[in-house]
Amino acid sequence: MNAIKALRILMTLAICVIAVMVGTALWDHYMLSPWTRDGRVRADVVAIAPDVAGLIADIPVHDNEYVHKGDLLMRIDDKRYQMAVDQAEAALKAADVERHLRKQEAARRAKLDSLVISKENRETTSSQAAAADAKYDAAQAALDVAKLNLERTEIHAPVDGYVTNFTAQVGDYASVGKPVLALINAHSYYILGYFEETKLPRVRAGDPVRIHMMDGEELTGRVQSVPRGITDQNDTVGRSMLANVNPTYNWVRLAQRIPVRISIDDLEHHPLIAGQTCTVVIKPGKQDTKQAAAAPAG
Amino acid sequence: MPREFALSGILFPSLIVVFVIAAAVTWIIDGLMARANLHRYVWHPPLFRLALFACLFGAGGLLLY
Amino acid sequence: MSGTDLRHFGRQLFGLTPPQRITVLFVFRTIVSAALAMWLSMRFGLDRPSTSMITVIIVAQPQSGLVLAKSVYRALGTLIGCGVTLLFVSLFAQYRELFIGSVALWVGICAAGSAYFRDFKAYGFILSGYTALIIGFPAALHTGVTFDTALSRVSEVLLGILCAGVVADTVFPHRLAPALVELVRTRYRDFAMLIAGTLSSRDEPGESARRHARLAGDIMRFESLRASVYFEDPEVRIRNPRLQQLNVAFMAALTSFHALERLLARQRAKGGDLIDRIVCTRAKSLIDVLADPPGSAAEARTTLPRLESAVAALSMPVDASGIPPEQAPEFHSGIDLLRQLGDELITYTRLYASLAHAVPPAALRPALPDSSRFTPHGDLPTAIAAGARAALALVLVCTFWIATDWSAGSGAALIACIVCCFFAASPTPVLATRQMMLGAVFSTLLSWPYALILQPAVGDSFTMLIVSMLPIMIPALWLAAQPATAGVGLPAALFFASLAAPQTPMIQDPASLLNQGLSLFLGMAAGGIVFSTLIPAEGAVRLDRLLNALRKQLSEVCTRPLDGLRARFESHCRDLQMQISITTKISEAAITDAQNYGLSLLEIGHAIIDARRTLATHADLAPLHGAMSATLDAVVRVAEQASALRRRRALKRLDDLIADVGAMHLHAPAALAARQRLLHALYRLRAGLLDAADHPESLSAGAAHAA
Repeated sequence: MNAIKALRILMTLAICVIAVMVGTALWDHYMLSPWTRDGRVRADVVAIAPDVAGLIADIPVHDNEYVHKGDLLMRIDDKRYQMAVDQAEAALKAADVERHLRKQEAARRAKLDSLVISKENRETTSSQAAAADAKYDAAQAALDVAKLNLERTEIHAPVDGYVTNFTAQVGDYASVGKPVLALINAHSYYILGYFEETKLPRVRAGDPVRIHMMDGEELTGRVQSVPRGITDQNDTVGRSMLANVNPTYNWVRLAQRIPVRISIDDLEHHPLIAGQTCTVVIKPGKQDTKQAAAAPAG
Repeated sequence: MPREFALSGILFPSLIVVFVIAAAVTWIIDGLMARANLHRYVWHPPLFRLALFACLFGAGGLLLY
Repeated sequence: MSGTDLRHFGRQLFGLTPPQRITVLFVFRTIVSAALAMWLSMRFGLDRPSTSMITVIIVAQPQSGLVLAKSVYRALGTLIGCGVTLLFVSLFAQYRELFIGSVALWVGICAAGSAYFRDFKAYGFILSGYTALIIGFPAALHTGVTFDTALSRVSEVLLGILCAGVVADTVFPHRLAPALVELVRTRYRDFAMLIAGTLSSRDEPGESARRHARLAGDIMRFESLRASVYFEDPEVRIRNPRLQQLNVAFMAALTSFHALERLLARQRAKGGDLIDRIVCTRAKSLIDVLADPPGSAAEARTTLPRLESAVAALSMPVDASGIPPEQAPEFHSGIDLLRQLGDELITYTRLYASLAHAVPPAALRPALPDSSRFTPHGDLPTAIAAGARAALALVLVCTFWIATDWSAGSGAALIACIVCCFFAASPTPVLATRQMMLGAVFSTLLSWPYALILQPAVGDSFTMLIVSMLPIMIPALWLAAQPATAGVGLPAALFFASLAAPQTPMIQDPASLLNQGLSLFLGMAAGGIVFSTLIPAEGAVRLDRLLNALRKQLSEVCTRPLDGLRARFESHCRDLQMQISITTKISEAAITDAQNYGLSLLEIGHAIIDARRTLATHADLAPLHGAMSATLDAVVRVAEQASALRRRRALKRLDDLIADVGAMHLHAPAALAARQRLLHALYRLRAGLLDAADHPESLSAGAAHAA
């Protein structure tokens, strides 16, 4: 009877101890292991804006098209700029003629002695020749600008990437500096994982990462860097530059989220979309030795 | 197994599934134990049941991750 | 040191009586689970942790089985309500009137469901209506976040349920299983003693009536105990079908006994002691067995063979030589009933004995079909009235809300819904609403100083938050644990939790506190008005509805297919009688009348089922079908509206039928025996009808009230 009683208590206690151990392990794992459901795909986006204004004459690319660096994206009607070049060339020619005229005049005057012409007259012509020279240089520069403008009527891709959100039409008027299309840098995709601050001690640059996309795809990557600052939500500046702190009661204090930057391995094989949601799981420790070895070198 | 599963466009943590399965298995084991009259070897059945559930759920959760 | 020793030690240490100990533990458990639920809810960053706390308080009960049962149905109700709300919001959120209309309809359906079922299923209905409101209104006001709100609310509620269930089940649980075992044992003992006492003429008639009433009440008590212990104990779970059958077997035996008792009483009243004596002599061996009832299921196993041989002795050929011919029918009916009672007692005892085993051995397999169980009477008119009440209250409050653009209008609508749904099946909804108001006064008054003075002072420590709530929670829960004051205490704790509503980050807003306090009263007032005035639910109206339902039982017993009819008829009658007995605001005499009506109904119904079954199982009696159904039609007409004419007509038909049966030419012994049985059943029916005619108030009770 006593044996059974002891067995009963022993068995119950044993399974309780196991339960506590397993439960704690799961809790730690779930609450402390570095993983988050709150990950976002990010990419660098180049906002392409025309350098010269004008009607859009030609758009050889389509929305969401992949373009290589240097490919033509858009051409602005160049007639006006062609004419500007012609005009600048004409002006240059005129300046050239004048420069010759003044130069010869000055050379002629320079040979005459002071009995024939006054010193003042000679100086005047020589200065006029120098001014005509400068005017010619200015006309040359104006021509260069006109040529540059003409050249800039063609807009080329600055990086390899995807044209996106492209709504401009042939005939639209493009103004200077106003972006008309976004070009996503194809090599720049990375992931921001928003990790609770409690999980950060286990996150190290270089740790391998598994990324589960919402559509079921799986990627691998590495922790690239951990940021060194986020905004204090309670620290706003009020009037007269004085601090404005909200009185809040946090019965249970919750961890804030820190964005950790993660680079993606094998980017070419996984078409990603910037802004996608993903789950990020960091496998800490496996990289530690390699990381330690690499650190002094880097 | 993925940590999350999608149900009509909403992601749920898979832990919910583990929870439900663990609860069902606990219920079944409990029933079987009652049938075999094994509860006389248990000192505090509800505590035992809770611990059993915690073990199953914890083990399932740890296996998942 | 074992558990019992510890308990003993604890009692001595604190000098607590067992009820006090239960209360102390209840308060302790509730506070622990509320704190746990709120902490987890805050830790997981859910947006209204107070919902978890409120959930814990709603399901809080001193007995762990009740908590578990309520929790299961609450979880189901919440999930269903959530789904329905999402549907409504997606369909009607653009149109305020349509949305409110559809929600009112849904709440009406839920209230009707809870009034129809009245057991734990009712709780699921209540909760699906309530969830529709707690999710629906905020969601409809901010359609962008409907799904998040719904998910968050459901998580909070499920978390609260989980915490309450786990704590109730593991922390010093107060189990109902021993009470169930005790009830099974005492009920058997009491019943055996009652039979033995009545048959041996030892008991005073008054005494036996009292015992009988108590045993009838035990049917319902057993049912509700079983339903909640089901969730608490796997041992009970695997015995559940047998426990259900046990109740049916008990009901059957009790009704047969009741019929026998009335037959004997009638003879005694006539002064015909002879029959009495012969029946009692014949029942001698049965009485001997029953006078020494088994104390447990294991002992019942040894009683069973003795009982079986005693019952076998009852079917020996009867020597009727000493009986005067005019008393012969009663005599044979009595013997018949005795035999039937004996058979039913064997079934009952066998089931009882089988409870000792998790899997019953072949010898103790129940003789009843697996599906026989107690089915509470679901009354459609009552349910519809309850649904209309809830929908009406909701529409009233919402109209006020829309007309005034009051910011706390949705809170008032919620309270109105809670009042209408929770008290849908209550016999005293007005009193319950009044008690709830008292609790709300208590909590509103206290939540002011608490939320504006105490809470800001405790700083931002969770422990201190819980400690600061204790001075109000402990008395409120203490009141909630006493049956007499539970109606005040539970709402007080509930409203306090919802008004104080700790959340992260905490916002102190006296204006909204005032608005919420007012909304409580407005909602309850709407519920109270609807219950007491617009669609009254108490007093004579209630009694009329119940009597109507009883009358319908008689016509059902005449017309429904025989399969499972007996268990259905008996459980409905018993259930209705119990409901009649707890009706308030009506004279004692009216209740007694209604009770007597129910009792005579039981006897008549019992006889009718007997007659119908005999007729159905013997092909030789087939020619009687036409006459039989004509007679039953006449009886139904008496039940519908009793008048001297109708009763005379029914008796005439019955006498014709009896004459027909007697005149049949039958030769096979089996057919002769069947004819005897049929005749006895018809005699009993006749006696029952005549009895009712002697007490005009009984069979016509319903008609008088309805008129």
